[in-house]
Amino acid sequence: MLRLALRLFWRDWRGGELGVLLAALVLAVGIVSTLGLFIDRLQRAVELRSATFIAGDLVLQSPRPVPADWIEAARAAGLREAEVLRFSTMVFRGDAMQLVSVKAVGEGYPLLGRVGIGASPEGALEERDRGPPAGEVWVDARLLPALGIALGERIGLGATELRVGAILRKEPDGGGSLVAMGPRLMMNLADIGAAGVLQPGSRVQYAYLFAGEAARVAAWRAGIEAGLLPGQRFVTVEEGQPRVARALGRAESFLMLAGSLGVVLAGIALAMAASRYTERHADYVAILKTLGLTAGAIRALYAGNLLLLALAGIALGWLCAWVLQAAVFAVLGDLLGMELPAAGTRALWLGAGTGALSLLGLATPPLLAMAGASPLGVLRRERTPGAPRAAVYASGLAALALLLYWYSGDWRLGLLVLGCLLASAALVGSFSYLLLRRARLPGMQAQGMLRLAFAALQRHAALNALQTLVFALSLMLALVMVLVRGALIDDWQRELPPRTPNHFLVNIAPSQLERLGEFLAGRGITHAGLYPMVPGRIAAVNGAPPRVEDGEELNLDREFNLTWSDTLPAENRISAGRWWGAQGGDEVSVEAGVARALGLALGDRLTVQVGAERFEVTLSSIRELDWDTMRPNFFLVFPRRVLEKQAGMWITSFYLEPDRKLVLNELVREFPTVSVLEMDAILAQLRGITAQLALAVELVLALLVIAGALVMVASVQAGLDARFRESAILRALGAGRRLVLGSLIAEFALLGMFAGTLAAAGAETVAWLVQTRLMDLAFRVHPLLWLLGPLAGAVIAALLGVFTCRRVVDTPPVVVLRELA
Amino acid sequence: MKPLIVASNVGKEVVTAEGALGILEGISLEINPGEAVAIVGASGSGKSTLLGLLAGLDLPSSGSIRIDGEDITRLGEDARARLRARMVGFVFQSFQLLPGLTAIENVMLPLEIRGDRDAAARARDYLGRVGLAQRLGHYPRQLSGGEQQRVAIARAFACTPRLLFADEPTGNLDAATGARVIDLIFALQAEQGATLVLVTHDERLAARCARRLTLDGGRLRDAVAALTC
Repeated sequence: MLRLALRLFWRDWRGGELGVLLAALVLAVGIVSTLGLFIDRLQRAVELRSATFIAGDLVLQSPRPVPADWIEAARAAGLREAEVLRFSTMVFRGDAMQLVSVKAVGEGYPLLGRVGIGASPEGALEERDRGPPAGEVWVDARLLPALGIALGERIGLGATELRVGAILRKEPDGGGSLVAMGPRLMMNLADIGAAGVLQPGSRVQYAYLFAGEAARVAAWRAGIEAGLLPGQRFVTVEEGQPRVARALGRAESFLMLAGSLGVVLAGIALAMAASRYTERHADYVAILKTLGLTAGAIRALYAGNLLLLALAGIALGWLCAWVLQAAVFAVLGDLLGMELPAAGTRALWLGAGTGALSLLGLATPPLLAMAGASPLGVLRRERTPGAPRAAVYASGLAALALLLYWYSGDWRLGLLVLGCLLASAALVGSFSYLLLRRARLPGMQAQGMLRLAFAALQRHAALNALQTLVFALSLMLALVMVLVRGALIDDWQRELPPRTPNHFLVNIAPSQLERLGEFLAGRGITHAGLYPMVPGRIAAVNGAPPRVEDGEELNLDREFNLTWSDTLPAENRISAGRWWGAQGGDEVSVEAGVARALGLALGDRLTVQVGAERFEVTLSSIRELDWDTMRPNFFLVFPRRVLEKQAGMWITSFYLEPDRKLVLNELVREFPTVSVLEMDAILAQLRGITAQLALAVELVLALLVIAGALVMVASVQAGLDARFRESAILRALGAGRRLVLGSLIAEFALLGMFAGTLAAAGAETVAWLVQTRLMDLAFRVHPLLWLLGPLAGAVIAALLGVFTCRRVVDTPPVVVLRELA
Repeated sequence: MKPLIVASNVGKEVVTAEGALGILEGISLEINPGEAVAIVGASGSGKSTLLGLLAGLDLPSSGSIRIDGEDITRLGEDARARLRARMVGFVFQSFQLLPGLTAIENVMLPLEIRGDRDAAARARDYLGRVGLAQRLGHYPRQLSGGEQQRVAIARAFACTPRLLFADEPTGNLDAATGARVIDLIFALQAEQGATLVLVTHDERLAARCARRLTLDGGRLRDAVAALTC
C-alpha cells in the first residue's frame, strides 16, 4: 500500500497534478513563516533595543544601598547585574567650578546597549560596552568650555583628581531625571571612595541593573518585591519608558494583525488550490474504486499523498521563508541600525501548522467524502448531498480560527479578524454574485470585446464571484494595512512632533523671571510657559484623610508640585467642570488620574498643606493631559490668588537645536542657581526607535501586499482551465486573438474595479474597527481610498489577467480542446 | 450451468428536486459464464444505470443482484470493491484513463492494486496485444481516441477478469476505429473465456453478442429472453 501510495504520488507529481496545490502550500507556509520570522526577529531586536533604554531588563532604584543578599540571590539565579550611583556634585579646575550630575558606574555596566564616546561632540562615535576605567571620567561636551579645559586634562572631584578621557555622547539609559542637574559626568564606581564626596545623608540615587532570561528575572523580582522599603522600586521599560512601551505595543499589535492577515491569505490560497485538487481528483477516486480499491484503501492512499505533499510543501515553504527573511535582513540590517538577534523556531512551526492544518481542514474532507461515495455517482459528477461541502467550510473555518488563536494568542484579535473576514466574504460574495448574475449589465449592449467581457462575467457568475471575493479580500487586507500603518506612523510622529521641548529649567527664582524671559527671547528660544512650583500635599478630602482607591497607584507620602495659572495650561483639556475666569475663587483643578486615584468628584472639599499652612479649596474642574508632552505638567492647579502668596520656584521647558548646546553654558553662567535638565538624548533615542518601528511596519506591509498579489495570481490560475476552453471555442468560432485577449483584459479589469470598490468599503470598516477597538488610535475617513481602491483593483487585475492568460490565447485552439477533452 | 449473474426484480430510483424519479423497474435477468450479452435501448432508458448496478458500482433501490452466488446488494462498498478487484473489468465510453499516468501506468494500476509483482511486464504484454507497444510512455492526451480506448481495454483485460463490463465502448469512436475495438474486445473475451456484458447503440456490436436485452423506459422489453433457458 505504501509503495502504491508513493508511486501514485510520484506519478501525480510528474503529471503536474500536484503542482498547483504544492505551490499554494509553499505559499501558505512561506507567507506565514516569513512574516513570522520577520516579526519575531524585529520584535526581539526592538525589545532588545528598548531594554537598552534602561541599560538592562530590570532596574531596582533605591535611595540607599540594598541588602547584599538580594544581589547575591540575583547572581545565584544566573542574572547579570551592575550597580549605578547618581548624584550631583561640584567639579573644579583652578578657579572654575561647575555643578555636574554624576553617574558612577560599576563593573558590568551597561548590561544592555552601549556607551558612545568621542573626541568631539560631532564626528566619529566610538561605542563601548563598559564605562570609563578607574581614574578616568567621560563628560558632556559643554563641561569642557565651562571649566576651560581640553580632553586629557585632569579635574578635581571631591578629594581626588580624575582625567577627562572622552566626550560622553550617548548613554543607553540617558533618560532625564530630576537628579540630573548640570552636565553629565560618568565615572568609575571604584573612584567614589577616594573622592569622598558621599557622606551620610548625601542625596544619592542607587540603581541596580539586572539582565537575564525573562522568567528568571521575573522569579527573582517576585522574591524580592515583598521586602521593598519605601522609596525602593523596580523599573522596567514599560514602567520607565511608557512612551516607548506604547509605541512597542502598537507596533506589536500591527505586526500581529499583519501576521494574522497573512494566515488568512494563506488559508484562501490553500482553499482554492484544495478545491481544484479535489475537483480534479474526483475521477481518480472513481476510477480507483471501479478498479476495486476499497474506501479505506483510498483514504489511506490520499492521506499518504497529502502527508507527503504537506511535508514537501512545508520543507519548501520553510526554505523560501528563511532565504527571504535572511535576504531582507541582510539588506536592511544596516538601515534598521540595530543588532538583529536570530529568529526563534516558533514562526516556522506556525507556518508548518498553517500548511498542515489548512490542508487537513480543506482538502481532506472532500476526498474522504468521495472515497465513501458510490463510484458511479462520482463519475457522473452527481453532487454528494450537502453535508460534505458544509463540512469542508466548517472544518476550514475551524482550522483558520485555531490558527489565528495560535498565532496571536489573543482571542479578541482572532475573533475580530475572523468575524470581519466572514462578514466581508458573505457580503462581497452575495453582492457580486447577485450583480454579476442577475443584473442586466449596461455593457450587454456594448460591442466587441466589452460585450464578450460582460457576457463572460455573467456566464461565470459563480467563479467570478469567488475571484472577486479573493481579489477584494486581498486588496482589502492590503488597504487595511496601509490605513492602519498610516494612522500608526502619524500617531508616533504626533507624539514627538519636531521641536518638542528638550530642555527643562527648574529652580527659577521669581526675581529672575523677567531677565530669564529676555535671555531666552534674545536668543530666539520659545519657552513652553513659565509656571511656579510650590511643593505641597493633599491633607484631607472632605475633612477625612485622603485614601487611594483600590487598584490605583498614587504616592501620598511625597509632595506634589502645585502651581497657579490664570489660563488653562497649553495641551490641557477640561473633562469635567469648568476653568475659572480671570479671578477664580477658593478652588482647584485636578488632573484626571489623581481624581480617579483618590475618587474625587466635582464639589469635593480639598484641604491642601503647603509648608506649615493649611487651606481649603473646592474641586471645580478635572483636567486631562498628556504627561509625555515635555512641558511642565501639574497634578493640581490653583487660581493665582490662592497660591500667589506661597513662596515657590518656577519651571519652564524649551526646544534647543543640537548645535546650540553652548547656549546652556551662557545660561548657567548668567543664572547660576537655575538647574538645566537635558532631555534631548532620550528624545533622540525615542525618535530613533519609532523610526525603526515605522520602517519595520512598512516592510511587513510590503511583504503582506506581495503575499496578497500571489494569492490573486493563484485565484486566476484556479480558473484557468475554464478560460482555456472558452477562448479556444471562441477562437475556433473565428474570434481573433486580439479580441479574445482584449475581452479577457476587459473582464479582469471590470472584475478588479468591482473588487476594488468592495475592498475600499471593507478596508474603511475594518480599519475603523482595528484602530478604535484594538489600537486606541484616532480614525478618520479616507476619500482618496474610494478612488484608489477601484483604480488599483482594475489595473492590478488587468495586469494579472494579461500575465496569466496570455498563454490562453497563444496556445493553438486545437491543442487546448484536445487537452481538456 | 450455474448463472454468473442473477438479478431479481431490481429497481432504481433517484431523488431529484422534483421528487423521486424511477429509472429502472422490475428487472430480472440471468447471465451465464462465458456469455456475451448486449444491453440495448434508447437514450435515457436506463442502460448505463443497469450496467453500473450489475457491476456493483452502485446499489439498487429494490431487488437483489447475485454475482457468482454472492448477493452483492448485501455487501458493503468495501466488500464490493474487493469483489471488483477480484473478478471485474471495465471499459467506459469516455475511456476514463487517469490523465497523469502514462499508458503503461494506466494498465499497471489495477494490477498494482491487486498486488501483482510483475505488473509492468504484464501491462507491456497487453499493450502489445492491443497494438500499442510503441506508445507505452505516452500520456492519454498524446493518444487518439481509438488508442485511448485500446489502453482502457488492455487495462480491463490485463487482470484476466471473469466478468467484463463495457459501457458504450465504441460510442466516442469513428466507424473504422470502433470496428477494430470491437474485434479486440471479442478476441480477448474469447481468449480468456470471460463473461461480457456491454451497453451499446452500435448495431454491429450488439449483433456480435449471443444475446440482446432491450430496455424500454426502465423495463426489459422481452422479459423472458432475459432469463437463461
